[in-house]
Amino acid sequence: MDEWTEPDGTIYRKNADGNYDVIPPKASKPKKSKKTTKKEVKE
Amino acid sequence: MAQNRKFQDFVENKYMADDAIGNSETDKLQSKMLVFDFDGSSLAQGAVTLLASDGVSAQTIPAGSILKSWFIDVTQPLNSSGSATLALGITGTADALIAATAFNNAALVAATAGWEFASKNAKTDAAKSVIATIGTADLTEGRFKLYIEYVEEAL
Repeated sequence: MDEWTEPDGTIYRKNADGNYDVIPPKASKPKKSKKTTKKEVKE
Repeated sequence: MAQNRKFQDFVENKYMADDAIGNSETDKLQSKMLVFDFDGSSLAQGAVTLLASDGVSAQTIPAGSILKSWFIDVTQPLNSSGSATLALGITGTADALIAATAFNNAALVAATAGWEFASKNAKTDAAKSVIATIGTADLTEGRFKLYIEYVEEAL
């Protein structure tokens, strides 16, 4: 078995020396916060 | 026919052959054991394919095996300058024996290690290599033999 994905998304990929590189699951990108506009404060 | 007090040739050979119990009669549903070697030559984060106990030959768990239990015989204590973890399993199920566990956990230390049940009742659909996954940080040293007990599925 040269490559498989664990249930948590970790990928195991066989390398040249017969062992496996372990590639952690990609972290989900943080959501961009919505831009807020400054409201003018009327005196 | 002369009296045969020593029962010589009491049962003819042809009948003994018919009743002989061979490997095919005794080999079913027996627990079996294989020993694997982690020689400490690969200590960086990643997954290491364990070899046979001679440290040279490749070895796999046969197809149709149900993993039962395991024992780690630590010959050089695992060590790390960080918080290294070790998981033990087979190709396709890296945590089939034990999920990522701190290198200095009692289960992985010679003085406290004992026979442990496989964490998942993994059944091999093909011959599988045994792997040790080093995570979080590199190990700096460590060697062990890993005893794995399994049962071949009934056909």
